[in-house]
Amino acid sequence: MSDRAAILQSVRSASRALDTSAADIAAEAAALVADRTGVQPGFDGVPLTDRFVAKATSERVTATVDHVAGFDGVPGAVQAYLAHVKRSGPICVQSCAELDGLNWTGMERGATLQEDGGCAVTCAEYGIAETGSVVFRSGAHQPILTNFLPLHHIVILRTSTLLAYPEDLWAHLGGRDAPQSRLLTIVTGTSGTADIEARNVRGAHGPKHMHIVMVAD
Amino acid sequence: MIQTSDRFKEHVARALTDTNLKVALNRTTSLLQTRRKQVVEEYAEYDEARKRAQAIKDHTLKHMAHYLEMFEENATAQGAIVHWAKTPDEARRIVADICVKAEAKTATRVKSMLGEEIGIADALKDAGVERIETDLAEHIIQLAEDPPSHIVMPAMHKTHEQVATLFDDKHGVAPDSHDIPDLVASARRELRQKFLSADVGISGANFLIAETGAIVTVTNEGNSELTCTPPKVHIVTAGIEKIIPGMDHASVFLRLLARAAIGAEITQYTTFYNGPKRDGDADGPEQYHIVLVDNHRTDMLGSDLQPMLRCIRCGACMNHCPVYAAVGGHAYGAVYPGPMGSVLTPALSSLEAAKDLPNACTLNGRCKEVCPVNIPLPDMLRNLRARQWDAKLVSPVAKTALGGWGYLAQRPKLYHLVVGLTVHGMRAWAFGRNRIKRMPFAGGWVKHRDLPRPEKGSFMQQYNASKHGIGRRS
Repeated sequence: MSDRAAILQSVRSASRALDTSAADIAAEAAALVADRTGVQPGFDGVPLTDRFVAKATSERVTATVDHVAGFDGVPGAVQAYLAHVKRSGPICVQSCAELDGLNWTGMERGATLQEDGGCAVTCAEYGIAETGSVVFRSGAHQPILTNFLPLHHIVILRTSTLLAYPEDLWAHLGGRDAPQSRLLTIVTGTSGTADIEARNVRGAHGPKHMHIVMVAD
Repeated sequence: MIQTSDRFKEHVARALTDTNLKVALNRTTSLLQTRRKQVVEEYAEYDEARKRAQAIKDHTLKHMAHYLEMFEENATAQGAIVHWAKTPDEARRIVADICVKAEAKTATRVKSMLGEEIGIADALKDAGVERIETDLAEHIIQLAEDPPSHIVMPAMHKTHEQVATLFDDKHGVAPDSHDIPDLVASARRELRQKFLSADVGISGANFLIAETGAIVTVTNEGNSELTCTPPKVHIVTAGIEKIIPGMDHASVFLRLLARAAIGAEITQYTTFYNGPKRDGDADGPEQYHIVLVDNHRTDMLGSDLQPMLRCIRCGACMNHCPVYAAVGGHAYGAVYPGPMGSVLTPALSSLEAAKDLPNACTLNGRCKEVCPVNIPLPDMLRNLRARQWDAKLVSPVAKTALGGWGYLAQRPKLYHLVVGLTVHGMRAWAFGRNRIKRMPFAGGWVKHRDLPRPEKGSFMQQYNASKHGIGRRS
């Protein structure tokens, strides 16, 4: 007998619910999460943007946030951040429709991130207000490593993509029947570790600094 | 790792005299308790979420075959190659074969307890592959050649001074200083190019999502994505109990896991992997394998140990266990230490090989209280003790002591007399001090700690003298 058959047979022989139909199991599973609000941390009345910013900039998440009125303002905000952290040299900007058309004069695009210490600008697909998180997916124009290799990670986030809870995200991604990208990551702040004496330290392997530029749209 | 739980008492004796270990455990466990408490108190919906999580796990375990097949079908449709392994041997063989076929020279690895359980280090060794641990704690213990001592923080037994000495000795470029941030920076420098040049990346899974076929990893360091993206092959090894129905169910667990494990609302990186690189993708592995491992989990299913399959490996039970805090994780001599380990180790090996573990418990109940999926650990440990009694594994001394206690307990007047005299005797023995440093018949107990001087009178004598006492009631 294959290991697969052996495992499934052992599972079945231990089960007392073999005659339940797939539809009934699905209904039972759905009922367990039907009342979302019962388990979602409530923030009634607080606008999504306020909740997002409060969480993202909290002591536990440690990002910084800037606001611009439109995409045209993004290069200026990036330049201001670089000046603030006293960085010069080339930066790695994700190549995508939103960022390619902008005026990057004064900044050198095209850095690779193989060496440590770089700075990258990437577009998040969604923001999650509950935890101050940003969401990235892999794709042709979304190399995942760009979000993990820099020391400074500048995230461009459209305010219209803010969602209250991760449960809302699944609905936006099209549910179980929609094609899924290889990787979907919910990023909350920067790479950290508490592995030595439980002391929280930032910049473990990935970004040490996260700066979120929120674009009003 | 080779299980040495049968030498628990020997390990404990050594642990209790290890001053570095005491410092390391003191610095960590209290901090983790405080952080968890704060973040759970802030989460008003915690009780409901905990109930929900338990119900979801119970539901999934009830329909496990259905969900495992659903997971396999969906993961395969996403391009995964799904393998099944009844035993650790088979799992190791599968991993080694994949590495050999891929002609791999190096493999980066994200910490997973299942990987430790099946001995993934040996699988890679067999395949002639250099193993690079990327989780900071695993990196530390790989350099120190230590086994893990905690399921979330495997290097909890090391002080930062010990880590500094280790990095000075083993890193290509020594740390800039011995401060913790510089130690972290040194590991970053050491590992960076290794991430980018590895042939295989190996991860575990915190959850397997049946409805999409995704596997989920949860890290703070971001080492999972760095491990599983650059190499041409990504291998996932996961226990079959990690299965949950869908994405909405995952949210319930993610909120609880981060709070229970590290006292945060969410970990920095929560990532869903859906298969290999898609056509046109900028990065990602060409091959993606998932190895589903049983290793006695199906034996636990349907038995009184089934609740243990709800475990999400947060480590809260060990962070709150007074025995763990005194002896550390290595004393347990097994992959899983602390209360959850004391239940799991006998199930994964044998009652006899782990006979001291269920007894290394004061039955104070904190482990169950802080468990995010409400596993009745104290009850299960008590059951294991009963099974040991039935299997005649209890030592003659313990048997005699229990017999004596049983004799007294059935004779209340004699019982109260003996307890009263003992208390009186101990108070006299304390010679007016508040602590007792030496005690006849309890030499082991007072070897590494003092006994407090008992209150005046036994519990019953004090109770009867109080306003609630039988003699005082009108």
